[in-house]
Formats: sequence, C-alpha cells, structure tokens
Amino acid sequence: MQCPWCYIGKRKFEAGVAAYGDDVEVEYHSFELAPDTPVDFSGSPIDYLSERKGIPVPQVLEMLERVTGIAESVGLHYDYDSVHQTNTIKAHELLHYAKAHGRQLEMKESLLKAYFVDGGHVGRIDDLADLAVTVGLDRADVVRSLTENEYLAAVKADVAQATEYGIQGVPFFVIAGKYGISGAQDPDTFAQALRQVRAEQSDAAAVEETSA
Amino acid sequence: MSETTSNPTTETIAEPRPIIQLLEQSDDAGGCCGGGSCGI
Repeated sequence: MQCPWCYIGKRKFEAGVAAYGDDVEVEYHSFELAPDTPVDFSGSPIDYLSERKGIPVPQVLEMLERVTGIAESVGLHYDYDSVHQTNTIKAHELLHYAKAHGRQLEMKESLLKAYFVDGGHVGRIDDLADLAVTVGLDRADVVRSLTENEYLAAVKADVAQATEYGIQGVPFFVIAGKYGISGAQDPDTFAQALRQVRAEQSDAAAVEETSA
Repeated sequence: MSETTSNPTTETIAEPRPIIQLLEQSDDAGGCCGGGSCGI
C-alpha cells in the first residue's frame, strides 16, 4: 500500500498482461512493511524515513526523487509533498472486504492513487469509507466491517502465507501458486512469465489427457 | 558383532513452501523490504 514500487509494479504488470494478450485473473494479498507505524503519524515520508529508519535526509530526498521519476515514466504522478504516512492495516482489511464484494481491483487502484497521487489518508476508517464509496461499496457497511476488524484475520493469514512463501519484500507476484516474480520488473518479464506458465499448464493438461 | 542402527523417530520438519523463481527477471527491479532503504 505504501511501497512506491508496488504502484509502479502494478502498472508494469498491467502492461505485461496487455502484451501477453490473454485473460489473467488477479487477486491482491496483504504484506505489512511497517506495522508499527501509528495511524496518525504527523510527519512526512521524509520525516518517517529519516527519523524512524535513520536514513540521512539528503539520501531520502534522492530516493524519493528517483522513484518519483520512475513513476512518471509509467504515467503516475507521485506527490510526496502531500503523502500522509500512516498505518495501513485498515486499508488492507478494506481490500479484503472489497474482494468479498467483487471490487478488489478497483479498490486497490483507488487506494494507491489516493495515497501517492491525491494526498489522501489511507489509515483512518472514515477516510477509507469515503474512498470505498467511490468504487461502489456501501459506506456504512464498510465502517461496520473495519470497526469490527472483520477481515483482520484474513490480512494476518496473507502475511503468514507470504512468510511461508519466503517473501521478504514487495511487490511480489505469485503466478499459478508456484512461480514468483520479485520487484517492479519490466512488462516483458511479466509477459514472458505468463506465457511460460501458460505453456507449462498446456503441456501438463496434454499429459493428463493422454494418460487418462 | 554387528550393530544395525535405525532412526525410527525421524521428525518431519515442515519446509517453507518453495517458490520457483522464473529465470528471466532482473535483480535490479525496485521493491520495498520494510528497511526504509527502498522508500516505504
């Protein structure tokens, strides 16, 4: 949710899927990078990275400038001056809620855009509920769900699954439950991986058919 | 005198489910690990 490479990776993956040219079913899973971040962290990402992670401010500025430039190259206009660093556990719960209501892909895009582009707050229940409405979800029911921690266990299960897979960073793409791609790779890498998996699945299906 | 050893109490240790990395991917692609150096 707060990893700038995830939004960039999402765009590159989408371009890869377009180049692949066939239908791909996508499902987002949760991974927490900084679960100790307070919801109402008052500083900027620069403050967060320098104060909490001990990175010198000039280095932070250089990092953000670099990632902002790469984001621009895929059509994303990051605005780090307006970003609200926060705890994203509720946003992850909302993604699970949205999945249960058939709106996960829209919700994911909306959350990333709110955080990196529009200066939205993705840590507070009221702000998240406002965002949920924009993708067709019921505001009152979203508030109820997030207040009751309805999908907290699902988020934690995703984090546990990621640990089981050996995932240590994001974005991380798991294809067909057994192939992994780490990082915001170029679209060609995703397209080639999808073709490879499709070919292997076709071969497996053929073998199964001939042995039946 | 010979002695046959056996290990009837071998424990099965659960291994992490392996992810098979695809061969053609760059090690330089950006990502976040939570350490801050990659810009969370």
